Amino acid sequence: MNNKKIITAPRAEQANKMINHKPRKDKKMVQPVFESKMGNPDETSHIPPLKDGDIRIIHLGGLEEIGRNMSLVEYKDTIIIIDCGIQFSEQSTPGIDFILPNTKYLEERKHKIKGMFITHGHLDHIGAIPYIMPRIGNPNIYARNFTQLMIRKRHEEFPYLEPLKINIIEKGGSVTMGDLKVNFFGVSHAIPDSMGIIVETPYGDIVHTGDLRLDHIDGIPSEREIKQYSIFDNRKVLLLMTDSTNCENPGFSISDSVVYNNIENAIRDTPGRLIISTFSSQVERMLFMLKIAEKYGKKVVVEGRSMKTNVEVARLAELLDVKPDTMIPIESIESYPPNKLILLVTGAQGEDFAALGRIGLKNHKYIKLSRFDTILMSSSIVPGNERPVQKLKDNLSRQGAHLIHYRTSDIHSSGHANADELAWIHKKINPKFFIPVHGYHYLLTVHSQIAQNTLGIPKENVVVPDNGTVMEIRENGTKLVTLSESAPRELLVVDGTTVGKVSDVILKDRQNIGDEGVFAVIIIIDGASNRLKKSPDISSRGFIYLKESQELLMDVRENIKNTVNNYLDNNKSNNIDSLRNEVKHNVSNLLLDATGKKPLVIPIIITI
Amino acid sequence: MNKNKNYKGFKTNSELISRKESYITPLKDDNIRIINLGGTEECGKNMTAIEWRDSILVINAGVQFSSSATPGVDYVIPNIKYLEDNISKVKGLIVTSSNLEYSGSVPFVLNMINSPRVYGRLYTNTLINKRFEELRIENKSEFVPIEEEMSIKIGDFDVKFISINKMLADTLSLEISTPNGTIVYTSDTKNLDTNSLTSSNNKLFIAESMNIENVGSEISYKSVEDKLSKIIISDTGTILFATFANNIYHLLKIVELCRKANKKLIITSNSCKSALESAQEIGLLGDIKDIVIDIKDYKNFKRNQVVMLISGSEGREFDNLYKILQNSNDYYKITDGDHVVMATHPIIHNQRTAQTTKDELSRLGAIIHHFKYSDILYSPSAGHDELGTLHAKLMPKFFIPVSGCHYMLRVHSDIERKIGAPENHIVIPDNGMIIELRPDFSRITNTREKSESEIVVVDGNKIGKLHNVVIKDRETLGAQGIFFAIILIDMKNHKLKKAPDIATRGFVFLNDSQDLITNVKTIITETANSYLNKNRHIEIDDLKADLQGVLQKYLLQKTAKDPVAIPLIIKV
Repeated sequence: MNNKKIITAPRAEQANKMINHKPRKDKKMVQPVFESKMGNPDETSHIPPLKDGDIRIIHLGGLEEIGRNMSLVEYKDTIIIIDCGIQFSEQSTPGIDFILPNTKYLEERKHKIKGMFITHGHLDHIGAIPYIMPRIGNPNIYARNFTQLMIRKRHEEFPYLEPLKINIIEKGGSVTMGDLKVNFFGVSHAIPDSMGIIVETPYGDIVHTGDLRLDHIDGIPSEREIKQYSIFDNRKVLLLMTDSTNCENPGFSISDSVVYNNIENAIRDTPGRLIISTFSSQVERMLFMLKIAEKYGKKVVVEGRSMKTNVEVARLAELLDVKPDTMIPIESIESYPPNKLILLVTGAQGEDFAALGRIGLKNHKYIKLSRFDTILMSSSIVPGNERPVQKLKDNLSRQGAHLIHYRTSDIHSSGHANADELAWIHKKINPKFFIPVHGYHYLLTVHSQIAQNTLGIPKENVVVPDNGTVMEIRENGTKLVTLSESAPRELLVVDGTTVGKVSDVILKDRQNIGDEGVFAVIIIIDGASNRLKKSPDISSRGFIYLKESQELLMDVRENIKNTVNNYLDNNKSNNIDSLRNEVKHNVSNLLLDATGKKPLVIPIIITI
Repeated sequence: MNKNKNYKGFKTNSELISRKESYITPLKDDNIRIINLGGTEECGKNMTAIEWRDSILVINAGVQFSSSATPGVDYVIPNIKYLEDNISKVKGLIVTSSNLEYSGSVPFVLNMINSPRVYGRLYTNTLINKRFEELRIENKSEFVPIEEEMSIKIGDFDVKFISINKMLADTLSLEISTPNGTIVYTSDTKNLDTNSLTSSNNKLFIAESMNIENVGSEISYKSVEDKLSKIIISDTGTILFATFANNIYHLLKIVELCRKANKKLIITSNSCKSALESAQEIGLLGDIKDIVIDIKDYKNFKRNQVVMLISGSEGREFDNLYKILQNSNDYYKITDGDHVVMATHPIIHNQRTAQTTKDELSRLGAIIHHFKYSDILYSPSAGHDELGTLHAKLMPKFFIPVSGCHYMLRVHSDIERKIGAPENHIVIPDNGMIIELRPDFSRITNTREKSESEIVVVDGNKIGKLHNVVIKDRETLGAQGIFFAIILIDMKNHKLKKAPDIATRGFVFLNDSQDLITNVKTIITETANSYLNKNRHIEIDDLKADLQGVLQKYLLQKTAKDPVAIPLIIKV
């Protein structure tokens, strides 16, 4: 039918909203009660054991979606994990809070897990830690400082869980665990302390870059990048796995310097109050904005839970380089002239409950718009959010505010590399094998083309896998093989307090009744006389406005009575299931004819 | 419209549409009234009414495609209460584009406004007539074809049809003359020929804003043709067009290019079929029997010699693609090297849906050509810079931007400001806003009065107001599910007849939650018993409220889900 949507969320924004703003906040103090019992206890025995000397690579998430990134490298008796993220729910999973990587493969090999490396602190890389850790034996986590602070902050929401075992590492460092040595290198992304991982194997390095982009000016990478990637000049890279999120975009992304310059101009030149919204996950840009605001003698209000959290983490990481009085509490905005105020707010994706959304709907306690305000929307539209964002822009501009939007001004650049940036990175790392990660399937195929075109990697050395695809490097690092067996890949979701596999029936029902409504009929049969006890009761929601449809209800009752009586007359066996089907069929048809709608008809038959 | 639905015509709850009496000051002083009944707070359901003396001229009657705000609804249409209240004045309907956003609600509203004459390009009229047939709605209006620049008197209005474009078979612009000035309305900002306008210093310009956010130069006929041709001559597989059903220019171009490249054409899309048939009926397109083949004969041709038109209806362009993906098509399956061409609009389309489609297609080996609308579609809507040029050429005295979301209208009005228009010469309308123009064109004002603008929807076979309860329920049902508890009360013995029965859908997986169900039954039984013990006389509503509160709270607490929870109390 129509495009029904659950608002898909941008990275950090939505999940923080979920943690912080949901009315069911208290649930976070309650341990999840229902663990799904569906499926076999042993679901991975069909996968042949790893041969000594071979290396196995599986991505448990992030290859068919943006989000729930999780990868593993297995060699001899060692498994290391890279990232552990969530994916936000979308239209195909209505009502679901978020989706987790399916970790069944790891759960059945807990003893081999030597550590989990986290490339950076975004929720699509750290968000599943609280849900997954108890399942895989709470292994050691290795992360850089900012990342580990983000992980700890999130873990505070789950006080009933065991404490995490976090080890702080730094770029240039290395850790030896079991049969593998792991090194780290810095990459540019939107959040401080982003890193890539180099796993040393006897046949060469396996490089997983995490999310990244290039720091560049007009397509020329900066000295810093050249230096960062120079470590690969003397390394033999066996396999590269890297971010595909923006590989569909040609050329280089807009330089940060251009974006920063435009933002600085806006902060300096805007005559009235300036409200800036951006993804709270754009931590580096937020820190820049704070600094520039201070430079021009402005005061900054940070509004929105996820932004406050991230600024707080930046303070803990000693990255917040502004004077204490630059940031002011929102209650005091009336005491400053508007042209001295910068408001940093959440909600650029059109979420009704985020700060900008509430400003748009005129129900923000402290911020009321006027035609003297300017709003700078420094973020792109996450696919699926087109209409909510349009509505938001309408609501804001309706109040007279002047809007500066990323589509018409260069005030946003994504944290993910475009095609030519990726090509540059491929050249620098120069791997023998390539596996694209982080993105929808189509993006991975596009990225695999880039790898083949840039380096002339032969087709057989590139794999475009799915979640759960088991790949092995065999014959002393000369062959990259895909197994026909796959690790378990059914969706694992958080739905309220339920953590488990999702039932397709439930999702189908939600989609169906969310469009067409429900129509329940209660049929009470007198067991003694084998007759209908009374006229059927009807209860309907989301279907049509029943107060206007009394006549239709009469028809339905009549129809049911006939069906049931007919049935009871002709079938002495009292097969309730077939009566249920018959009622369902007849009532559905009647309703479709009368209304053109197909509500879910639920016959409830009670014999007394 | 879902073809599976067995329509028996549409029921209009006209009582509902016009029950509320709304008082609006009658038009006086020979003023000209302009009311946008749709299309100024959204992309779609365009409708503008112009009233003067004893006449109302209606321009366009479009639909808006349903979105997350209206789950389950088929279309949103303009609220025509003002027209119904002034029905004797309605003298005609002009349709300036065959696009559903301009013409889609003609079959739904025409009979409600006394079936006035309809003026449109021949192609547009033919297509609208086909829609009447498809929807099985009686068509009582006379359709007047406009194929060349002409002036027609409609009621008190002198209407001149202008900018009749030979390349675009479905667009027209119009100029309404009154003794002291003219009103120019266009949904074809790209081709409006300013030379054909009556010269007058008193001009009110009403123009669409659909592409206002496109910056940079717009594509030309030539570049569209080049892009399409490059794809059509490719020989690695079958070429599928999953889009453009709404654009006759593109369809004709594809037919022409197929013939040139010696390829066969399969048309599985009903919208495309109906568009091409309309074009044939009016002589826009000749015989195509020589190149069109039935999908059943696909196997008889080399796969790289076939082009297919498979798009779904507007706003749901990818519907047929899904069918092909799901292999429900017996005669054709996507294979390695086939091309799929799709185009998406940044606001009308859900880019996430497009992404899923691309994933599935690329899995099957298809080569995907995904364009932004503005990069491949020859749209009659001008982009930002072109609009700047148009406004500068026209230099209207007054300006009303239409066809777009509020923000888009504002950006459009900025263009007019830039060329020096005073603030009070521009009105950014809302749906229903009553705008008046002095007869001497000395002043334009927002009268602060408003005709009814509540949302009207086509939902199933009913046209009527959107009931918020129903929509709210659909939203909750769609995310949280439903939970019924059936409680039988034995009236004779004043107690529960049996343990409560439970039925849920879309809530939590029941096999996983037997404990939950057992506990719910216990809680309901306790609550009901406690009520029955306290009250000799049973007030169903009170008991129901008690049970509902307990039920809702318990479910939320235990599952963190908040389903629609319904206790059904039945006396036996």
